[in-house]
Amino acid sequence: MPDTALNLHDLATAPFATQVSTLRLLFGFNKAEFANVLGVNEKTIRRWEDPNENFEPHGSHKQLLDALQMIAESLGDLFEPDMIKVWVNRPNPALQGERPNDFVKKPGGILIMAHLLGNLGR
Amino acid sequence: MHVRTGSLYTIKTTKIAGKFYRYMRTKYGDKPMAVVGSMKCGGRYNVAGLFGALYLGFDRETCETEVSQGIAAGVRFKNGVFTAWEYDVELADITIQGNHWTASGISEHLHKRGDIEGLVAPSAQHKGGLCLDVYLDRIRTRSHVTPKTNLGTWP
Repeated sequence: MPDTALNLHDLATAPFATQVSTLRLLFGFNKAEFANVLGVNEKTIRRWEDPNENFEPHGSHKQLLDALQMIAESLGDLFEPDMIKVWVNRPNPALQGERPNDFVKKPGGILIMAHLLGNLGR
Repeated sequence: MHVRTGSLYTIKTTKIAGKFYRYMRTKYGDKPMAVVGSMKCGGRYNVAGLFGALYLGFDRETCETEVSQGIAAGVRFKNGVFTAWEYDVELADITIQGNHWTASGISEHLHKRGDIEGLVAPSAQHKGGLCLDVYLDRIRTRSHVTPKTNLGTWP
């Protein structure tokens, strides 16, 4: 389950390792599951989440992490932490009736969610 | 579904005038004419990066349902996360009983025509509700969309 202490408002300015672990926990993924979503291996996630590593993704991985960050910031704007948990696990009519934590695993799912949340009320 | 886009260039327009409403995220609520989100992300009746659209509801209930029943999935919002605006509007329009999935494609042609300032469409979320989608870059001198009153925050 997502950590209720996740600070989504300051995510953009947080260290990269914190950003990655926060985005992973937002959807309640373990490292292997998150690696699968991003199309990397688990070792890469461990490196990204290691505060002693100085590593940043490029290309499609960066695009997906940026989109996840947009999702996180929108959720932090819109909902209290306990309601974010509800949103992540609730079947969503805008996502073909799927739960966000399932839809995020689909090809293009991250970008679609970022698009829909980013546009809400803006 | 086959769409005869050619017919979109001959649809007649009619005038529309009155009060319309928009619910914006409060952090953007001081810029009621901004269409940054629709330009950047696209929308039901506009194509991302091509042109922006100002999405207004015919009534507040339609706006509230639009923001709460789509991607938000009815989950309770933080207090005050949206700011409601009332607009005074006068411009030409058309009405499309559109298919949601082809809507932005239809709208691309209507915008391309150049002489259409916006369109009226059914709300995707509020049964019986209507939305006015305005192409701000197509508004002519005799028309206007004017933010009139900040109605405060919601919920």
